[in-house]
Amino acid sequence: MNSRSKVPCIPIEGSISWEDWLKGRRFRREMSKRVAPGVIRRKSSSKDRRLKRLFKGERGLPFTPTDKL
Amino acid sequence: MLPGVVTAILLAPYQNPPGTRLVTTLDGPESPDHDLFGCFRGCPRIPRLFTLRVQVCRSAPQIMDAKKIKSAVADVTAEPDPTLKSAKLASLCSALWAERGVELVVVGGSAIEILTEGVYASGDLDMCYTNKATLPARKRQEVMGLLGAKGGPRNWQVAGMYLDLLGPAESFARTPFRRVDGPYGTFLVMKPEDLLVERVLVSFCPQPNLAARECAMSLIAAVLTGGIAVNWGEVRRVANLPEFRNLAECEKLVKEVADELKIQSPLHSD
Repeated sequence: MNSRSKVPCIPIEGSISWEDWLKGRRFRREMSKRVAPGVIRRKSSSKDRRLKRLFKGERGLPFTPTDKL
Repeated sequence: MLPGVVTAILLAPYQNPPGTRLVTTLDGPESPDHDLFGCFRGCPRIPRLFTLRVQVCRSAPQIMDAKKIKSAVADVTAEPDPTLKSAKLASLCSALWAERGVELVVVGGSAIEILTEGVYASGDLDMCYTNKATLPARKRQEVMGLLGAKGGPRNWQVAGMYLDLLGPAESFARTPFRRVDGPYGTFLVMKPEDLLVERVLVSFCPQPNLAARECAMSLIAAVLTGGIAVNWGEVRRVANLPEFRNLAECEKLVKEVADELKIQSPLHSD
């Protein structure tokens, strides 16, 4: 697979535009999930109390499914 | 002598192209800039203790007015996607702090999330200063107050999430912070070279840590498939530093991910 030419890359020098960063989200998620499937958000941390209070018992907002990115 | 005059004198040797601006920060043993300027007045030798950093930024400084800030906060608050919400808040905070001469950078899990979309980060955004200069507590509270933030003076509840300001950024890679032109201004993200080496370290030391390992793997995968550009020479150099000493583990994990993706590892040992 060679999607490199189509997908905007976060460069070393210069900046990536907001539009390009948004455009690359799905690709980056898909590539990440090929080696680390599932939600890998930590189950707990020292900040749990405040996080769970704010996010109704969760540690953050639910992630957007890959097909919706 | 007024601070503005001192700045003008210090900047005299620098020329910036039209349409750009110079952003200056003073790195020194003590932080707030107004104190530094006080030192300049009293003792001409003091400036030698400080490093003047000058950066050329693309656009003229844009002061966000109250209406713009209100609309931006409403946008961040209403954002249901956690990664977008973090990125937008990073953009907004970076803009407001930059107006006051302090440069922020997204670090830790939030940075990895913005770089990888790896469904890793929790509902807080971790940011650091790019140098030792920061704002005094009162000023920090006032700036964050513009966003309707609660708490402080180092962590705030703002726009439906938490923002933690962790102090000066810890970075070893010689590459630049990555830059995203966010909706309210450019924001910086920690260097993936640093993040990769650090996350690999946490994945096995002091105990095996599966979440850190998967996080490192997702970062490596995003890099190997072209989503993020990294300098592998820097990854190698940083991993070899006494602060990490984990080059072998980095090589092993990069190879594992490369094998999984059926591509050649750029970090092989020979």
